[in-house]
Amino acid sequence: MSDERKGVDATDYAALDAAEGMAVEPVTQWRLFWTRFTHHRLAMWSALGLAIIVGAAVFADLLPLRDPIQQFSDATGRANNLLNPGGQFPFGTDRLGRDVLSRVVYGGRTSLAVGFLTGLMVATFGTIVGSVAGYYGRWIDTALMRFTDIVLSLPLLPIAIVSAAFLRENFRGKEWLTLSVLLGFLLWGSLARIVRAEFLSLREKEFVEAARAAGARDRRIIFRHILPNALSPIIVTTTLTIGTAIILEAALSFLGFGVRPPTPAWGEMASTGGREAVGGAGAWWLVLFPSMALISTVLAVNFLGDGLRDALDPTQSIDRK
Amino acid sequence: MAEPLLQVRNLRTYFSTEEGIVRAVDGLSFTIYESERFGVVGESGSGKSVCALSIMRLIEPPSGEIVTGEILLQGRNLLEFSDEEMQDVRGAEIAMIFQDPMTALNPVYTIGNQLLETITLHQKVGQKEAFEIAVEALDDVRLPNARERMSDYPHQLSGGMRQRVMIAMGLSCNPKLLIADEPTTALDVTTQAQILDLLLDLADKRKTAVMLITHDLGVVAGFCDTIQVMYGGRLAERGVTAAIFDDTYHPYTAGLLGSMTRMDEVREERLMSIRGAPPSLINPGGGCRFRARCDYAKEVCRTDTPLPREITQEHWAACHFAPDLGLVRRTHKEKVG
Amino acid sequence: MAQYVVRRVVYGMVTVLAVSIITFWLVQNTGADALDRLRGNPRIQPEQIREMSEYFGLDRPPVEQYFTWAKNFVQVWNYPDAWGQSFTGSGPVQERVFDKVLGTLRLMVTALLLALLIGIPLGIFQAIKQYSFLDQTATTASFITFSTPIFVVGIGLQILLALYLERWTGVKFFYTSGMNSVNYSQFSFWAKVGDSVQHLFLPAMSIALISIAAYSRYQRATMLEVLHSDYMRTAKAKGLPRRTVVLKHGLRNALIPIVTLVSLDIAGLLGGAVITESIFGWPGMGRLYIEAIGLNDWPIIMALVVVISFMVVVMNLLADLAYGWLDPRVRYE
Repeated sequence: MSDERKGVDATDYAALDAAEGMAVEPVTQWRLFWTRFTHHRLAMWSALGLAIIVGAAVFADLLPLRDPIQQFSDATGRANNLLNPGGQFPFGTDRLGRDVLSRVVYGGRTSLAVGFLTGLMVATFGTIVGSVAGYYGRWIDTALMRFTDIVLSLPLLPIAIVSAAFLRENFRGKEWLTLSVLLGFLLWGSLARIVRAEFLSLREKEFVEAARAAGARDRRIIFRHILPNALSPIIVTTTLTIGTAIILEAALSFLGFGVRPPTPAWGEMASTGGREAVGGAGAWWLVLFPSMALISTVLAVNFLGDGLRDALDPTQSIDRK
Repeated sequence: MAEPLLQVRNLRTYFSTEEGIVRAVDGLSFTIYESERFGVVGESGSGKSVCALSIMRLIEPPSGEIVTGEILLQGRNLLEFSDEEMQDVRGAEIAMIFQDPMTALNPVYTIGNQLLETITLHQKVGQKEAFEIAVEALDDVRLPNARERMSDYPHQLSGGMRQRVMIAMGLSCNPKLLIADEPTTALDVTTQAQILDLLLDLADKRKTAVMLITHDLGVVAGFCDTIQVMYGGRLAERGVTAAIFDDTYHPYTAGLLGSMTRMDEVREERLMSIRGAPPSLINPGGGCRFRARCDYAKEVCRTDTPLPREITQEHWAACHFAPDLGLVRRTHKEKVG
Repeated sequence: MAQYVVRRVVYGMVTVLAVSIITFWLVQNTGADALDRLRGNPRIQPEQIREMSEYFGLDRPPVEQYFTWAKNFVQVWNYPDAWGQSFTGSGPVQERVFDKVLGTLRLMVTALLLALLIGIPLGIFQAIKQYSFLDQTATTASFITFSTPIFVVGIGLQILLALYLERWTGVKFFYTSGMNSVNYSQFSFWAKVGDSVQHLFLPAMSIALISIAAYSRYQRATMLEVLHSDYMRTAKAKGLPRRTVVLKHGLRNALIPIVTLVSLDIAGLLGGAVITESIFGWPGMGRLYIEAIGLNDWPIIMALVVVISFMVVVMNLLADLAYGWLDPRVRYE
């Protein structure tokens, strides 16, 4: 009864649908990401802004800027606390006659160097710990996670301050490096947790079983198979951590535990500037420009991170901040 | 002859999304009679749940809107009711229970609290009396230790028990119509049967009409008087249960039946599956929405929308070629016995 | 439940222990040897040096020094000498520290209250009126605030709300330093209250602003989730009026998750306090901490570090307990 049908029409509906514009074309994952990302206007602008900031910091000596640590004097003597009518000193000078504009640009070097280096360390260390814990499970997992928990429960700023003081004393001259290591050590915990969670769930998927059945060793499975799938939370969290690291470095240099003067650093400039501004001289430009630099940089990083998160996996909620 | 309880006329409910306007329900009309057991069957996206939510006027603006239509509850048009009037209807005259009892019950309040809430809202009774009514409702749904259970939280109950609580909540104020949206889908098979039996029993006792929404034809087969098959936001076929199963007029219904296993027949052929995928309801185009998946489709199916026609007594189908397709399935009468 | 508490207490103790060890090692290895420093300080008499040397075992190897310190430290009841003398010669550590703890607590508690009382309603309101002007403005403001270091917030508030406000209106609204004015003790009760508020507001607000941004964002997300959840639909289907649905069914569920966020934020509030106290000259643990580090006064540093971590552990535990009590799913396991 069933296979006999009356009046079957052999019209080619596939062709009809295609003609009506209902055909579906295959889209690669990369294409999907790129489309979503470029639609996120804020993220695009932030990426551009960040590129400019990084470019300015890296190529500072190629730019027409004055020496950031040189103290300038006018015809008679010290030229301090100039207002910023463009001309000579677009951002004004500080109490020692140094050009604020060039100090702001050069100051970016420290902040960005620490930010990115910390990000790198957090990404590396956090991923390694998280993936090993998540993949192997059982006692390795417990041990690693206990350790991570302790690191995460350390009170961040007090420890950072006393450690920075220690590093400053013992490792003169390379503050940007030592600070990065310090911040990297303090901040990798959350990423480790996130990566572990990803690995715990990805480990159960069929493609892992398939790889194992084909004879792949553990390390290959981790790096070649599971890790690429766990990339998006790693990228997003690392980006946001870079923002945190920049703020932390600024806080440390604000309190006097960052790079040594006269190397310019935004936090330290804000600190001195704050005292000048509030204390009575009213030199608001000493506070405004380094603060603006800080805020714009971190804002750009955060928007970028947000855009990356939306573009990479719009359904996933990674960070509950 | 029972009176018409709920009459839906030309209901259209649309949702605006980024990609366009989704015509979830697009011109649906039907009538439910008092004490009737009315089954609504369809796949995801057929509009069956949206239809129910539209009746309850739980469609949320600004994205969702009932664009046109009439929903007459014993002659009164619900779409013209104010918010307060609608609140009086919900729970008291029409009640609705949902698919997943774990998420449908508020986790931070006891089930007693949630039961009493409805009872004290719609019935003019004091706390003590309300409490007794609630316990009685729980007894009716055969929840063991009803009185003690009143102070339990939803997570302390099993899935089946939670669904019973939902049913108790729904029936506690003696509504005229109970809408059950996939009440058994989240439950295991044994519990499914128990819950359906329970629903049958209670509906009979209280003379409540039941609108049972499901994607599973097997569920409605044993339970419902009338079955309405929906597709693409529209009616495909509607008739009494026996007619739907034996004298199928719509190719979609036939497809559904062909893909079902039945205990009362010996199959000689493979189970059929319906080719293709459900249509996008954003730009469904003109004509019959089932044409892309239909073995009998012709050119006219593309150009003219088939409107529901009453083919035989109370048996409607929306197909240009019904009843001539010979989809009649008399297999079971011939093969068994 | 009890098992959970015990486990958390143990973890807390381990944390405090770890913090003390790490800090001790760092401080020992920063700068000059303690004994040399003491001898080089003209303000300290030789007998004091001898006393301190004995008390802390300054001529012993570092590991032994740690245990000596730890043994003395835990005997808190030997007030005021249990924690030793400050290396700057400014007296018993316990006295100096306890003084400041209250100051910091006043700041932190106020900041937390401000953050909760402003942040939570703001987030809820944003969710109810999603995409409204207020919602969009608040979201943008939150984003910017997140990206602003706390010291910028502090200095900014100082300049705008103290300096400029006074310049424009001629009235001194807020103070930028200290906890009380000089002749505080001579004020009447209400003048005292007013004076305290005037000093407290700016530093507390500096700390609170970032938390307000965080809480409102989180609360908005949580509230939106709640508003779209199934039990809200059930509540409406029962015919409950809109107000009951939102307030009774929505709010209770929406407020529970924020406790977790507050728990995570405690450490941040404390860090914020450390910086803010410096900016506003607030007499609290933070400022003392920074001073002590500058002088490498390790009895004070150690004491503060332990007190701070202890506070964080206790507050976290309280927050966790509160969460367990509020959420019936945890309470009745």
